Amino acid sequence: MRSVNAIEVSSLRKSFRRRFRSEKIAVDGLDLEVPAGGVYGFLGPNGSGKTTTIRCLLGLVRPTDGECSVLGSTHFPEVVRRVGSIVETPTFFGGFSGRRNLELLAQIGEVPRTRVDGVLERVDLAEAADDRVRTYSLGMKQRLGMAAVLLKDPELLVLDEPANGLDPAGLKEVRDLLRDLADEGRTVFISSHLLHEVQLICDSVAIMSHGRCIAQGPVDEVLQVRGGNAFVVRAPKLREAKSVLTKAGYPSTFRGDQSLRVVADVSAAGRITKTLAEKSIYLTELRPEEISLEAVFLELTGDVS
Amino acid sequence: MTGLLLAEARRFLSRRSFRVIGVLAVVAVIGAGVLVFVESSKSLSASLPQAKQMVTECHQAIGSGPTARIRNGGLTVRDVASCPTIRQAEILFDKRFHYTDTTKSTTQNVAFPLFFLAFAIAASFVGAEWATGMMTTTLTWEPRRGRVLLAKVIPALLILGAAVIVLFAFMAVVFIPIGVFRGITTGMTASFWGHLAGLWLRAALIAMFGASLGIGLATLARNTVAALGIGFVFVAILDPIFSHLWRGRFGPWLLMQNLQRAMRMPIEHVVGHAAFGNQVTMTVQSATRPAILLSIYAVGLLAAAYATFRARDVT
Repeated sequence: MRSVNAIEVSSLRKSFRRRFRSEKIAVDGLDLEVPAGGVYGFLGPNGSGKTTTIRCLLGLVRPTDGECSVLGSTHFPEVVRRVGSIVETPTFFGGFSGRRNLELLAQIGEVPRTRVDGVLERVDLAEAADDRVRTYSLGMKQRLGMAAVLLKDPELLVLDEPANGLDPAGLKEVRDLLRDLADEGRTVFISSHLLHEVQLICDSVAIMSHGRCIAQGPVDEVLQVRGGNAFVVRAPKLREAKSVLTKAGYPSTFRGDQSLRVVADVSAAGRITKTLAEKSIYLTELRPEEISLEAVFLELTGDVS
Repeated sequence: MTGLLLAEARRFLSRRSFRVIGVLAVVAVIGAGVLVFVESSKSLSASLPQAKQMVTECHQAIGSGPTARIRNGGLTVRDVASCPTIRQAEILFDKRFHYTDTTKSTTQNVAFPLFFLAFAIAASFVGAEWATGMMTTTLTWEPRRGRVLLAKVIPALLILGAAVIVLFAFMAVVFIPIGVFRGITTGMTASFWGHLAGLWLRAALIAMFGASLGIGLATLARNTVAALGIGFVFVAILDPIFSHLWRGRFGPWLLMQNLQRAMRMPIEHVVGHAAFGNQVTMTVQSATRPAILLSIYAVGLLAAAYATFRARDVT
């Protein structure tokens, strides 16, 4: 029976000793629960501890403290055949063809070699399968990495920046592929900097900062941390409009594009219009603000002024 | 584990360094064979002119100044010096290819370069995997690090050992026509072939020892260049220095001396004479001790490499 959570991380701490310098804490008491099934985004700025966490999950790095459980097991070798992973940039033997690299991995993982052609087809790399990997573009290497992950027919996919180097068409293909995999009942755990992509495909996310998880849960819930509903207001006398709305109880801020961000419930649209009209300020635009994951991410990680 | 072993064996056989060095070794054997064929001669009489010249020069030298002084002292020339006969001098300049002696001595001499080549090939086999980051990929497929290391050690050692034997067998085959057409092939008995096979086996074991050191150091350093550097510093600097310290007391424990002994021992001295019925062959130094010592070094280094590989993070 499948466990409720595909990944469970409890009080994970990882520090690295550095010569002649103080200890570096990469992950600091991380708690994470990734539900089985669906796509889970693992976000955070560079150096926030994402890759270290992934390496801990895959047994490449030993936690200083805390525990990681993957598919119900704290001993990764027990579940290795059920987990497909890419850590940072996928690496292969440059002198071998893509097909040969996959055949070697199939041999290591004792996976039938007959699966190789199928996964090459699935990532649209069949035509270049017999070319040497050193001639591949970054995007092709990413596809080959995805093919290697799929070779095991895994229940859980742990992917560190799987969309790096892909062109827009490639991004869409990977997005569709990951969504299909999740729809097949697999769990996809991805770390990515492409927040728009993450928002499009993820069911849940966790946001890391300085080794800690500062927000996690379903995407809609995480988006709420931005502070509820807001409107974008555009009018001729913007400074006066801001003053009027603030006095009327609708906190407003300049957005920087000749518009205001006005915090108010969705039902307040009419009252905002009326309030401004009473002061002879006539709106040119009034629309609900779309909250992006990027905005939330930047706000939470403190990278926005 | 079988799949992992086979995958690593395939990877090892596909390595460019292994293939290039293998081809160069074959070309070197053929080239040396051709050179020796051209330089050698079927007949002993080919060295007659040089032999005659040597004997003449010898007699002339004895007949000059020093000889007079010897005579004044009451000694004859024959008492203190003698020139070789032309027959003896011919053997000194013998251009015939002596198949059995040359094949044995060449095997012993070539074993040492092969030790260093095996070291370098094995070190690059592991070091390259760290350099490219492929070790991370491998460990996400087989996280048990003991198995991963073992799957590198076993194919590398077996393939290099086999390659050394094949190379020497090829050399022995290349030398046969030279012996037949440009020299002598006496002594090609079962005993000779047994002895030669023993030398091949030793050379293979020495190459396998070199490969163990290469893999061990590359695993510890996670880098090919560092492993080669450590190897070079030890063999070219530390080993010679230590071998001369404290009247050579470290010598029996050092790498190079043991390698030479492992390849050249046993040294046997014949004491007595068969005519008197007291002839005894005494083994002065056997190859057993160096073989055991080198094996302990190899196992020790691989154990240290495994302990480090198991304990350290892969970042």
